[in-house]
Amino acid sequence: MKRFRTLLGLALAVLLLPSLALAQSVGEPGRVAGKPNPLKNVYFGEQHLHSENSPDAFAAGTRQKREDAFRYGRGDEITLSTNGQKIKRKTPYDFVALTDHAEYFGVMPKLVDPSDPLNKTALGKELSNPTVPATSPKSAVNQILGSILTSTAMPQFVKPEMLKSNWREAIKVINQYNDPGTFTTLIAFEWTSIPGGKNMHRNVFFRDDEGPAVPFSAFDSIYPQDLWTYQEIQRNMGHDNLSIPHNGNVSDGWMYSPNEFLGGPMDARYARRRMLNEPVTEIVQTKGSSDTHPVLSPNDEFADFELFPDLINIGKPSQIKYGYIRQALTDGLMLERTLGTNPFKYGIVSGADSHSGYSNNEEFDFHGSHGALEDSPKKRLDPEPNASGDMPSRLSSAGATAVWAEENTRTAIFDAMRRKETYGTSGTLIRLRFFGGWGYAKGLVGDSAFVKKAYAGGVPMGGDLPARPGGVKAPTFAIWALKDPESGNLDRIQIIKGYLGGRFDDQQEKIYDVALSDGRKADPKTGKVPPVGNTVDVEKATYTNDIGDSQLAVVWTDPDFDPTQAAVYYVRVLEIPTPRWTTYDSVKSGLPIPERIPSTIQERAWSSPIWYTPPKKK
Amino acid sequence: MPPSRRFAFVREPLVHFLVLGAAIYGLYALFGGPAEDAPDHRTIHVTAGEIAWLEGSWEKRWNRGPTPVERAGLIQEYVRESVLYREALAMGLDKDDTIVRRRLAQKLEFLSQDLLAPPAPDEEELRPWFTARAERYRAPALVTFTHVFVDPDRREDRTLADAEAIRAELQALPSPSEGSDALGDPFMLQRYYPERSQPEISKLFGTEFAREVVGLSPGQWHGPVLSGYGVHLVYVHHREDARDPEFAAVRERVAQDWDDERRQELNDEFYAQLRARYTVVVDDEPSSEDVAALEADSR
Repeated sequence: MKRFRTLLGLALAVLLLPSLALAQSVGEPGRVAGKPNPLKNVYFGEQHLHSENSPDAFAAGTRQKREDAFRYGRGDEITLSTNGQKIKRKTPYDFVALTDHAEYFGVMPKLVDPSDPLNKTALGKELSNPTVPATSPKSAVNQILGSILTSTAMPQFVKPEMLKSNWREAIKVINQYNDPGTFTTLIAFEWTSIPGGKNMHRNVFFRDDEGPAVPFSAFDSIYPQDLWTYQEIQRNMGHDNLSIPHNGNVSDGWMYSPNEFLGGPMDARYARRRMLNEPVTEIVQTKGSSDTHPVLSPNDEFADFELFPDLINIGKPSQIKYGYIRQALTDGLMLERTLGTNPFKYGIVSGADSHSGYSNNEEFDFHGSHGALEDSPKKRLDPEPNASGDMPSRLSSAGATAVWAEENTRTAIFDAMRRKETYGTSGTLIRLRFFGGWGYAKGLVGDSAFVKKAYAGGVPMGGDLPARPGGVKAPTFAIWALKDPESGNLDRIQIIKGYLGGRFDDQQEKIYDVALSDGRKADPKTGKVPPVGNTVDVEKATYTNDIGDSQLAVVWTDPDFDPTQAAVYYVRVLEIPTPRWTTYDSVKSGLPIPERIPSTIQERAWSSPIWYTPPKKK
Repeated sequence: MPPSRRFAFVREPLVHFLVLGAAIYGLYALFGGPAEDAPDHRTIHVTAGEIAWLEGSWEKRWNRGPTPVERAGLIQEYVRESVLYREALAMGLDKDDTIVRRRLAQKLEFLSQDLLAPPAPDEEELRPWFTARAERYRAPALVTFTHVFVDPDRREDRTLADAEAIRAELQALPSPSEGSDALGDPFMLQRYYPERSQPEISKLFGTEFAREVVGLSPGQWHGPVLSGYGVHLVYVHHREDARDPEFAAVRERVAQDWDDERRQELNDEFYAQLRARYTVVVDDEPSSEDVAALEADSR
């Protein structure tokens, strides 16, 4: 495409002249602006973010308010509290959920506010006028973080009245920024169970505008099944909700374990409650990808992506097995055989988990994730580990969540998450449609009624394939991906299939390259696809879109389908290589990128899966 | 009739404030000043008025009056606070205390804000004020357009020539809505978008394309227009220019903004007059040029 782009530059001036007038009055086709779209629109947004009201964010020096998080999300300019820099998104988000930790929710800003009674507590005094260095275990910050890591509350800071009032304060601001049709905010909090560094964190989201009386914290319980009980009670009280587990990669192998947390094998009830309460999970965020690990997916040449392998704050490696989503999706098929329910039938979202009060998904405009610890290129490129447990350059820019919903409202976005019609990206705003059925025509791609026919003939991402009609051998999938107009072109679309089979009738994984840019073909002998290339100039942190395609679309039939075996399919779309945030920082500051940190990144999107379940044996 | 210059000082906010302040002070002294003003500094007199105030606050909090026991407790608590307060004042603990400083400054600020409330504006004041700031109330321009995508990944070097040819075909159509579907290349987004603002178009097609499209004239095919995706031919059906709303439709918002702005002006004026009575010396103060340079640096 290179020659074309050059030609274009020359020809542009002439061709921009409008053609001759076509005086016509027009009867309009299509939908009316602002009405719900039954064929769904994609909305991009944030579902995981912290303000100064999270104790660890505050401790890291963040003083960004809730208002800042929403204002930045919707496209306003804000001032970074740590260094006074002004920042503004290139592409505004459609929705933002702030998920401050339920533990000491909103307490920290009050501890240093001289007009607040909490300021007079010993901790408030120590925080306002430290007598010991911040690194001492007795420092105010370490007392607070320590109590969260050990799940032992300091009683004077978790009094029910205080929590209730802090929570009300938050809901007021959240609702104030909710603007149906234009910009959605969700009432949410993070349940922060992390005993001994085993990250079991879940974010909880509410469908209604009132929300519960109080959030549920890890001080109440570190066990997910107790969180589910809270969720079920709230649901019965009219506060429909769902939770989203994240960072299986640093759960020390517990997040997607076939065992109950810290216990023995899960039973059918545990599996059912899990799916009732947590329909989607987070695949990538600043603390790394939970898609898969090269150890688990040795045949996946793109598995080595934004890994964050060590337990947060501890720095010891997290156990890989049962920590990643791809394995969980396939393990779920196996568990369903014995339990009757698949406990890992997860849809996919992504998040920031930034503790700097803004959604840092734009790779080219990254300002760190942990407040004052990462507020300059010098600090971010420091080869020494910081409080995250690893060197800050290991951290990723934020992921972004996309939902397919009828309209941009709280209920429509919540309902899309509930039915898993969502996908996650590494931060880029790729548009992705994914449908599964039993008879999509090859020519569906390119049909102007693509979406309508795709819905009519099957299910969208997050769904179950309907029963197989007689005579149909294998499912077909219709996929359409469109690049982010402010980011790199697309490299390829892949389908990742998990299934049961093989010699031992157990968990298997296979990756298919189903659409390739630039007319590339897989080698018929090896199946290998030549790489898309790389246009990144590392010295300047630039790239060109001379390689790759703007959009890729395909109708694909599974060539290896076995109707007697359960299977799960999800899509991965890869972009061409673009500079990683560390490369932008390095060019800006003239400092070297730490060793073993890649200078480029292949941004990507992961769809929610579509499942096939074989008919029960009579 | 214009107000006489001789009495211009009557309109000064500071004068207003001082006059009103003096009046309040006078009334307070007449009808029961605080106990510390009494001749005997060692007497604490809890007046019926103060008790009524204590009871009122209680009721606000608990939604019922205090029981006799609670009432006695309230009074004792008030006495205790008074004793400690007077001793603290005697020891000079109010000096250089952040909270006391802030609280007193706030108190004066609140007081001045209430006293300097601008009178409600009438129509004659509000209308020209609104006209001068109409931009603030303007609804964004909305564009209704159809676009046909020409895919450079498909057509490579022929892209521009093909776009020309397709544009000729589009122009030959009896109507831009009929038959344009059959032309151009498949594209994931809709072909037709009704009533979209520039930021909305940006979210869909990128900033470059949006800037271009809002400037196109209606009733004809334009192009090629570039986006991050490739090449588009664009027909603008209708362009609703950014329009100033009817005054009546936004009157309430305008009145509120007028009030906010006037209040801010009065407060700034008031502070400026107070400030003028002081000579301020700041050690090591950066010059305004330094500040400007620092700000430019952080950009």
